[in-house]
Amino acid sequence: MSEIIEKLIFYFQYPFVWYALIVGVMIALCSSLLGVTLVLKRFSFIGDGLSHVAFGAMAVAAVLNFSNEMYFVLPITVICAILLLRAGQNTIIKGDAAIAMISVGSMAIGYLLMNVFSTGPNLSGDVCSTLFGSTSILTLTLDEVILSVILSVLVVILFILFYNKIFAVTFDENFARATGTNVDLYNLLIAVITAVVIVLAMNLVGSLLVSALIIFPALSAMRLFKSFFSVTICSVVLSMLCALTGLLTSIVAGTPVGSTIVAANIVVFAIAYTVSRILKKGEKSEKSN
Amino acid sequence: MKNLIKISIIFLLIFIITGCGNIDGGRNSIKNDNSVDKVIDKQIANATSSASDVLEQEPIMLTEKSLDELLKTEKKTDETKSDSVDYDLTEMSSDMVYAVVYHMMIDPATYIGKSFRIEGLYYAFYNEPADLYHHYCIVQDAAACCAQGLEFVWDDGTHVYPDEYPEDNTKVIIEGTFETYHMEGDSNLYGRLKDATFLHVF
Repeated sequence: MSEIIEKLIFYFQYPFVWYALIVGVMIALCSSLLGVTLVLKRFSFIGDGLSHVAFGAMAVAAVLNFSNEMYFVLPITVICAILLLRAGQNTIIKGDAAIAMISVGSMAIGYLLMNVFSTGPNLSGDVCSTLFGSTSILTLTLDEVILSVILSVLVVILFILFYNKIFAVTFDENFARATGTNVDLYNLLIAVITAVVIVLAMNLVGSLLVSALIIFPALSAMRLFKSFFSVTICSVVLSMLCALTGLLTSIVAGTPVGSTIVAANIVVFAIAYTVSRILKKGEKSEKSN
Repeated sequence: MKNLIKISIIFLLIFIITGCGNIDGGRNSIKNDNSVDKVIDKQIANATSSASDVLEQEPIMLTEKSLDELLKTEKKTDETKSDSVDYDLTEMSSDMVYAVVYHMMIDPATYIGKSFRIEGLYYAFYNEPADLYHHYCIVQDAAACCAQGLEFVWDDGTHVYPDEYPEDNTKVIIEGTFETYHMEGDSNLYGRLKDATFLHVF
């Protein structure tokens, strides 16, 4: 144990370890805030679709040799998020079909572009690190850290400011519309925030594992709590804990960062599920007595 | 009926557009060294080389002199291993090693003059325009999909390749001091370990 602590103290001498921890925790915070809304709105898979869009955009940015890919990837993902949200309403191609179409289409085009116009000698490495995150969180520069923190803070502020409206839109769109809430505007806001979170989270866990970061903390929290507020708070705490544990474990043990964080989330979900089952059994036996 | 006509026209237009494309131009804009080609070429090369190896029964790459020298260095290493270096990457996890080497390439100024000990796979690269070999220690991340090569110069660079060097993909531990340099006629800044020694050849 003391060896691990010594190792961690030694690693913390490097600024990029601090950057990874700060950005990792901020991303976990944002994704879990949004996760509850997305899971309740039955939009769990939109994260997956958008992350594939971001992968495609990243491939285009790499081919075009952009100095900072995020400035290109972010607007493209936001546009697709808005399109996907509109597709869920009244267009020719409906909800899940539109997500599947844009998702696999972007992925295929992204890989094709990376393959044909390969900019580096290690194509499989580039693709692998984009899909699974690999060590990208440990290779962030100060500029990228600042941009990530600014975007994360913006997401948190927007969520707190519009908490009541997001709550209304999440549970009953028709009721919210009837009470004069501009549902389309808030759906648009949720879409934009989702896109921002997806692009940020790709640094941490890669585009294939982004959905896990959004879904697992929300689902674990839902096993333990019932109200929207308590589920949101619990989801945030669990997500940040998992991100921190996963990051530190992967740094010490030398395991892939993204997969380790997702594994931590799976363990927490299993614990939450078991606890909820035990609590339910306890309640049932109390009632029968 | 109108729809059918519209669809037919669209299909015809697509055929016309694709048919009018300049085949040569298209071919030129696409790099031929995609991964499928690389894999096929590599497989053919491997098959050819292994067949010729069996036929010719080619001996080891290291000469007796270089092997002795390497072993001497190895002994020296065991004696001096307790000596401190600024960055001992052999004590770090694969994620951290990859991250440190990545940051050395991104921000070399921070690391100039610092001594490094690093474990990785030896790899030599022939620079055709300059007619010289660059020698690298390759490190991979935990997922083994990302790799970074840290260039090094063994002692004063007078050792002869390939006679005195280990084979490609041999696991090695090297130690050296980080410096940056420019190639002639190239404005890019490169980083490498100078006065490097092989501490261990596995």
